[in-house]
Amino acid sequence: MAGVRLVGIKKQFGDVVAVDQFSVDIADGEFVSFLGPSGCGKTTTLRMVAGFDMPTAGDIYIGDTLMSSVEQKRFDPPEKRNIGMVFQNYAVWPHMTVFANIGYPLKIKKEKRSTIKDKVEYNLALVGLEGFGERYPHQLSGGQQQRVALARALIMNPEVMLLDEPLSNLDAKLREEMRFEIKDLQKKTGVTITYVTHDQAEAMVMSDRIVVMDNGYIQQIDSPREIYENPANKFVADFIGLTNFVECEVISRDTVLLKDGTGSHKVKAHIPSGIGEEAVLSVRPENIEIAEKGGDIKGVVRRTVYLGNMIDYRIGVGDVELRVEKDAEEVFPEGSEVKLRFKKSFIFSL
Amino acid sequence: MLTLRSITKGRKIGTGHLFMGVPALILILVAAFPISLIFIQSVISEAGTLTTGFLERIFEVKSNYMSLINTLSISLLTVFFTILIGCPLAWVVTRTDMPFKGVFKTLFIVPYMIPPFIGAIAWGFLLSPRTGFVNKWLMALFNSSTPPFNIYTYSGVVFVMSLYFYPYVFITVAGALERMDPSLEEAARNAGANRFRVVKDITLPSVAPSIAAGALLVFIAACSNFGIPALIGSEGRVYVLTTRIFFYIYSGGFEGLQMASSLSIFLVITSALALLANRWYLRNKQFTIIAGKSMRPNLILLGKYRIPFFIGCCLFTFSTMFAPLLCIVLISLLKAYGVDIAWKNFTLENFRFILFEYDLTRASIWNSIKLSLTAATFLTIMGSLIAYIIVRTKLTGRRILEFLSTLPYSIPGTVLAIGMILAFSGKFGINFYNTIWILLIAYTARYMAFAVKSVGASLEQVHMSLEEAARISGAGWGRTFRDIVVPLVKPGLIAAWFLAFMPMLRELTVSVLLYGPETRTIGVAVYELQDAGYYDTAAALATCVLIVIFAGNFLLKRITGGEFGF
Repeated sequence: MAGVRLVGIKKQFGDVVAVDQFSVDIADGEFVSFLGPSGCGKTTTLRMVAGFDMPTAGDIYIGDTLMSSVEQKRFDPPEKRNIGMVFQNYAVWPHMTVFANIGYPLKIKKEKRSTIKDKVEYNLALVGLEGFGERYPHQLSGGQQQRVALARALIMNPEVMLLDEPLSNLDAKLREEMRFEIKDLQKKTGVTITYVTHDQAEAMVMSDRIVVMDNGYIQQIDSPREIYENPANKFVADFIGLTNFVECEVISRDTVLLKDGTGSHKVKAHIPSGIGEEAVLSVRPENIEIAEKGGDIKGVVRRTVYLGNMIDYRIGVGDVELRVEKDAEEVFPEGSEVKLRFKKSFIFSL
Repeated sequence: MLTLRSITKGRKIGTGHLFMGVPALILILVAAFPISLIFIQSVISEAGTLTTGFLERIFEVKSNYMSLINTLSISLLTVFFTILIGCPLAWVVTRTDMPFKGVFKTLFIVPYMIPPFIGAIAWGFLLSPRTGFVNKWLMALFNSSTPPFNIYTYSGVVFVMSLYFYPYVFITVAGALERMDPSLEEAARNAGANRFRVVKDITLPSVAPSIAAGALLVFIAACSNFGIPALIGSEGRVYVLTTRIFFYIYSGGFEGLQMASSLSIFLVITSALALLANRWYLRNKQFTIIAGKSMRPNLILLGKYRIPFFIGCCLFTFSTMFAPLLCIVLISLLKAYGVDIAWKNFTLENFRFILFEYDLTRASIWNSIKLSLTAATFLTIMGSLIAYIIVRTKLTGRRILEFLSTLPYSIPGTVLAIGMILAFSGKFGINFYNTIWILLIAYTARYMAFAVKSVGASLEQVHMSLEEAARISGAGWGRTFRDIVVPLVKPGLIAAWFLAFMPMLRELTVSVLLYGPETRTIGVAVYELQDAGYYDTAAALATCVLIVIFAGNFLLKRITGGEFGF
């Protein structure tokens, strides 16, 4: 087993920069997700680790071994990297049985037939496919094919496993199930996993750390909790979870003036912008308190949606509409005037 | 490692380009070079100066420009009639509830498989003014002494061409009708249009680009066809470019070759103009109302017309496909051409004669088999290599390779043959004229496109990740190719081989200009026997060809699990 280290990775396709200044150090046995909208460069980065794409700049280490370095003109092809990979569309070979699919990496290594048989049986059991060895892929469901792909990646005892949106083709229920199964498999085997996804819930549930990416650049690398609670910038705050953005002006070291003109509002957070600058305030729906009186900001309830465990409010503050989530104990009817208080908020410079 | 990088990425000149260089060089030699020679030959005089002589040669000889006008007008009329036949047939089998429409869908494609020159022979047997079965039967019936039909005319050529080329329109239009989004028509019904109004306002405009695509194929097929004008037109002194070129090659000498290549230029220009006209027509018709996936189209319930439509389709199939084929088979079984069709006159003697006794047919069968086997095998291998480069690599110049590989099929066969004569008859140090080699080169070049297209299509079905999964499992590039790519494109490889082998086995247009005394092919033998009046022998050989074609197609369909073949 080994970690993965990417140092200053850049990838350019023609004039288009797909990934730039990408550095991350993934520890042995860690589960790290690359999360971002489509086209953010997450898959490109994964493919460079796998050896399918060559970086334009930067070094890639697997364990202590340098696999790819532009400076040292080194590029090990995928088959020499001992990486297990699970593809978005499973990539289970349709002309081979389940057994042959899973056993293929060992066949390449010229292992003995009996060894291959034992290991395939073991891995079939690991992914819950005992007795499916003689079937062909077209006789399997999507979820079962995904398990075959997992077993095929695991059987070579890889240093690292790369998973490229492996659950995006499954239905919602199966997807949730597989999240836990993949996490379980990792605990059992202790393999380092790099996981690419655009689904934040998936990343939150499984990852030790998440690399949030946008437009080819890393936005934040942190644990799921840190990323949710302390987003590094406006993009991360917006992409992970729900949030309200209000334009504002910084008037002192800890106070901003909301752009709707309803009044100044004190914030505890560190304000990066200088006094007098325009900025944007981000506040999550659950971090807004509603009361009939006592808050700093005046608002009018425009719409309420009952969601069982809580109520989703749309509250008009001047010409801005804020989304607020509150438990259902006390209900503020539509049209009533309320006072709001921001429990926790962030200021991002524009 | 270097190999992998250059093959899969190839931004640098490297092993990948060497890998591409071999097929490229072969293609330049057998396709680009001969074809460009035609143009050079036409504009350069014997003395080596530039000349516009090729224009004069066409327009000073009346029978030459008449052949040009005939080619154009016959092809246009054929396009008109094939649209008239192909569209209703396509509509009936895709959009109505006519009984057995699935069977008819297959039947209507049958003429596509039959070599046009064999069709021409069959229609001669049926509608020849003196001996045609239909004429004799009608004359007896009405006690008349003048035959009602004469196939050996201008309209006879158009008639036979229309019957053998309408499948191009039928196939493209039926495909479009099947894939058309039914909600487009439903919306028109909601808007208040009745069924027939919907056909006129929505359905027809939607499939118009497909009709145009089919029409282009028909036009090119009609102006490059040799068999029909040679066997039907020449008899009635109706000449087109392909038959004039044939005439000039046989008149021989430098002058003849000069004339033939000048006429070839016009043949190329004619088909190129058709291509341009088609582009122009489609220039702002890039709407995507035809969805990629198969949909359940709206069926029109024919009601009381169900049976009349069915009977109509039966009659069409019987008179245009079954009758001519039956006629050839019957004549091949007769003791002599012209005797009554009766049990006592049936014999297998003609087949024994052509297969075991007659040297001309025996040699031609052997030549065609040798040629087709070799060329099909060679071009499948090379075509696969080219298809892999085109589909799977990013090598610069791969588009040129694609163009070169499809060039020999996109120009008329006659033109390719003239190019072969110009390139390989000694002028450049290689003399293959009258040998089997010139035929082998011509066949390989001409049908290369088939292999590139069908293997390419199969490769595109194989998702890149299947190869990547093998690489990441530890297999190198070569091992991945062997274990993953080859098994997965096998249907495409088999299809490529068959799709080239079958038309080569009965090729006429190219062979008739390139064969020598020792290298007669099956197509040439049938043509010569028919031309010389040995109708029963010609019919027997044609019957053998038909049997091989139908058996081959059946075999192909079985082997590829229905993916290829009809």
